[in-house]
Amino acid sequence: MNRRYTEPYDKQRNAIVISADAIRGYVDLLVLSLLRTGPSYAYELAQRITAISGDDYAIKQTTLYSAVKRLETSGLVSSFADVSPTGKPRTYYRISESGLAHFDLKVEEWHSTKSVVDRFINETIEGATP
Amino acid sequence: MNVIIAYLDSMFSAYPQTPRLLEAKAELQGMMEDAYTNLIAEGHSENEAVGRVIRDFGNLDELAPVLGITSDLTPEPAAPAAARTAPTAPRHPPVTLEEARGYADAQQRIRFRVSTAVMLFVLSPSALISLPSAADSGILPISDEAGVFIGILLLLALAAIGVAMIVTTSRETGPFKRIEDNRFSATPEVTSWAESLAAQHDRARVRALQVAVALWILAPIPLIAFALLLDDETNGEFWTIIGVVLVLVIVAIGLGVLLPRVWAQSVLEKLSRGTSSRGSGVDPEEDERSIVGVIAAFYWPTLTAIFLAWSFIGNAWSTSWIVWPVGAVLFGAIAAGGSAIENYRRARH
Repeated sequence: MNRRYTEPYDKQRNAIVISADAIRGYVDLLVLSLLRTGPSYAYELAQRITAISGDDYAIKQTTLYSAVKRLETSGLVSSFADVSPTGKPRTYYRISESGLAHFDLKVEEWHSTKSVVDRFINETIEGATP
Repeated sequence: MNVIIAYLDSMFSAYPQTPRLLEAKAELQGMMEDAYTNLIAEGHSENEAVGRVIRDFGNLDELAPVLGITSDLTPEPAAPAAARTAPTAPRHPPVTLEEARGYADAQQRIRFRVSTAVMLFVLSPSALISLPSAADSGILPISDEAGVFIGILLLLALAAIGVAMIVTTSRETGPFKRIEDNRFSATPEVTSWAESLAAQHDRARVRALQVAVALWILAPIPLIAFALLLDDETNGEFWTIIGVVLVLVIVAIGLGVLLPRVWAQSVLEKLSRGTSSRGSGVDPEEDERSIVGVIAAFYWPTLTAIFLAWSFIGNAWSTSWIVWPVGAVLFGAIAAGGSAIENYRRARH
């Protein structure tokens, strides 16, 4: 009952919750990777992101919406109207050719970002221990 | 679901109804609807589902770049008016949704402690009212003075317990002193969140209010009945005193029913006020509060002094309690008069 409103910033929770800032640059990557398997609509995307991330990252609806709109504006995804499995009219998003190319680019970028950050972490640890 | 739609409406109400904005609103509403339906299907209560959906909504500022409304979204709607009336007035930093949630959470946690303390305050004089009379009429085998002494002892003990309970709540509310002191500016986001929180708990609040008002109206019935029907009996006066104690008990029960259910409403009133809409450094509300506050600071001690003086000097413990109801009604009139003057002053600005 009491936890309901405190959950997002509950510091007693024993898990590292990824901040919106930390993952911001890669929400587009998450959305593109999900759309590679087929068209989907906003809520389904949010649900799949939450399911795959487990408790580590809960995406806000406005974050997801701004990501798909940003991708649509840059022509990486296209939208069309369809009906969701529950029978409601929803806007579906489909990845475009340039979206697929952009995804590969982003994946490459992520690997090099990760390797650079890792190098710093490992370097510092090695430097600290004689 | 209505609460969610109302939440979304109020979030978007501050901004122009461009096609792109309406499209965003429709799609976000679709997402919230799906999330809500899903949570209900998973067996969550309606309150829980609404709370989770609103929690996961996020922040409209995030949409600004994609909707091309950066300039519309960044300034707070109240800001232009504030800037016009007092361009250099120092403005308190806006309240964040996190703070607001924490504050509401704290208020929800302390609500039973506060209401119990108030009930104890109301009940504290009952022994002092009844024991001397019981001793007098021979129902209790103690002297009149012993009755008074035990009564005062119980009054002080109950008051002390009540004060101690209030003091422990400061641990919960301490981190939100900024909100309690009105040193924040309201934001449309937090206000609409608080509105939906209050709406969720409004049904319980209204029901509690009905029960409490009914109890308060019926409270004098035992007193009237005892006074009229038992007046000729041997212990008629004692029964009248018991009637008075029952009034206190029923009033306390009414408070105990009502007070724990108004927290969401008072959170809304607190959070939607802030200081931004005033546009000036001096908050009239605060000003008016301080007038009544100053009066209260000497009013209640004076009343206590009158009560004790009258009771001890006149040995009138069985009648002097009348000071409290009369004093309370008078104080209500003073407070109402104070805010009426303030409203009048504000209206003329």
